[in-house]
Amino acid sequence: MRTSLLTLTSWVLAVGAGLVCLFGVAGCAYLPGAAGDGFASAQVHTWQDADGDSQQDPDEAALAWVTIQMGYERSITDANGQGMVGVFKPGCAQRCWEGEVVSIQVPPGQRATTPTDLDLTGQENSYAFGFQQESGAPRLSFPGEPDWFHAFSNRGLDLTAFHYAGDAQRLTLTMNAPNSAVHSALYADIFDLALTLRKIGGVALESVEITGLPAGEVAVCQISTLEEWSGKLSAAEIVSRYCERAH
Amino acid sequence: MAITAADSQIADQMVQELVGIYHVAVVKDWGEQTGETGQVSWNGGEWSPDELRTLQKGIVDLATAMGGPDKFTRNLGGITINQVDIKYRGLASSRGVKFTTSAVSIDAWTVVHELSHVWDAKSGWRLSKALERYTGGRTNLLAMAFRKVRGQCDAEGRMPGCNRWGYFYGDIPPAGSDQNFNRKEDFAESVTAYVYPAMVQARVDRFKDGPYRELLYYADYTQTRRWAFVDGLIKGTIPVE
Repeated sequence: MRTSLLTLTSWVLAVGAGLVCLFGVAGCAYLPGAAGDGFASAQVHTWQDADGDSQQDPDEAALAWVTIQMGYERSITDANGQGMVGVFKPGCAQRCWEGEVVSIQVPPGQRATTPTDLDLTGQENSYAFGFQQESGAPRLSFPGEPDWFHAFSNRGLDLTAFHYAGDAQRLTLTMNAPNSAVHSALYADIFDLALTLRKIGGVALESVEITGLPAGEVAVCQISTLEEWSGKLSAAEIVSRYCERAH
Repeated sequence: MAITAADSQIADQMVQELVGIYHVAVVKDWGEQTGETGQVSWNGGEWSPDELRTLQKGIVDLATAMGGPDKFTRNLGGITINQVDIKYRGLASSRGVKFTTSAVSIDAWTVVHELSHVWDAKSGWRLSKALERYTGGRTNLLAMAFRKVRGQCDAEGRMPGCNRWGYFYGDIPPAGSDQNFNRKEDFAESVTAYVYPAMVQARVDRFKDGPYRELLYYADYTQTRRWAFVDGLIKGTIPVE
């Protein structure tokens, strides 16, 4: 008897699900002869919450270069504290933002005055994150929008994160190296590309450290000037010219 | 950012190359337009120079993976790509791809994914069915209903047969699985992962230390059945009925 009921219920559910799909309800759009894909994204604003009241006051400035994340994707806010991050949602027809979370990494020397993770509330909605300078912590500042950011993006290198590593004088950038069928094998080796920057006066690129190599191996690359990065070299050429693998 | 008059020469050249080499016709929505009063003005359209470059990159990358422009045009035929105001980020059929005009820019992953749908659609969706069979999967709405009634599904719908389509995927999906996963998406993601193996690794690494490790994580895409299927499909060693 119980089995019969289960079977009947299942048939009803199956037919119902089919009808739901057929009429494009509940995000399960049936597209005869086609395939549709969605996207979940968030616009992010990060600011210096000087008085720590979790509200952005008119005299409170933006906080630049904060790493933001959604799912597997990361991005950074720009010099105006503005950024966008999103994930591709294959097969999603509507309300693709549901269940997604946008989060930030708190820069060192700062504390969050708003939640660090926020559930998405709609497509392309805006989310604000406030930070207050911790007392006694050195203020980190970078003059203008760094040229290296454009240098990387112009060459198709996708800068996805901006971390502070070690002491306040060192920064680490994380990038996704774009790949093609030709270069994918090499890029797979160097997928985790960490650039170590040393602050000399303004911001100057000094060396690049590549992780993601076989266990025990580290590739260290010496890049003396920004021009070498902003040239027309591919990531593979950069590695072959400037990097040495060390055990 | 729309295409300016200064960009138009390069943009036009890219469009000509895409149609000439790859038989991909981008619907041009920029250029001079004449108003009712006869006044000529510039219409920037929906495409940006960056989006055109991204589109070109995706096409070239897929064509390279397939073995060159000739293979690409043989698999996809002549197609049309345009930007329209739709709720989808990308909508693919055998005729081509429509991308959204939303402020969210397209990326190379999305381009290759949508072109993979076109490839599948041109075959009458037989490629995705072949992938389903090759990987040991099946689609069964009734079995999905059974699973749900019996409480055998996870809340996120990531487990086989727990999505909206009753798709019981076999082996490990290319880039995760959710409520919307079905064999069409499986095929498109499998091809895209084949083109961008390093990029897809970042997408599955999130499952490495969680409850879905056994279902959704792999250390090397080239060792999966889906990679073998796409590789065989491209090299002609896997016939599709």
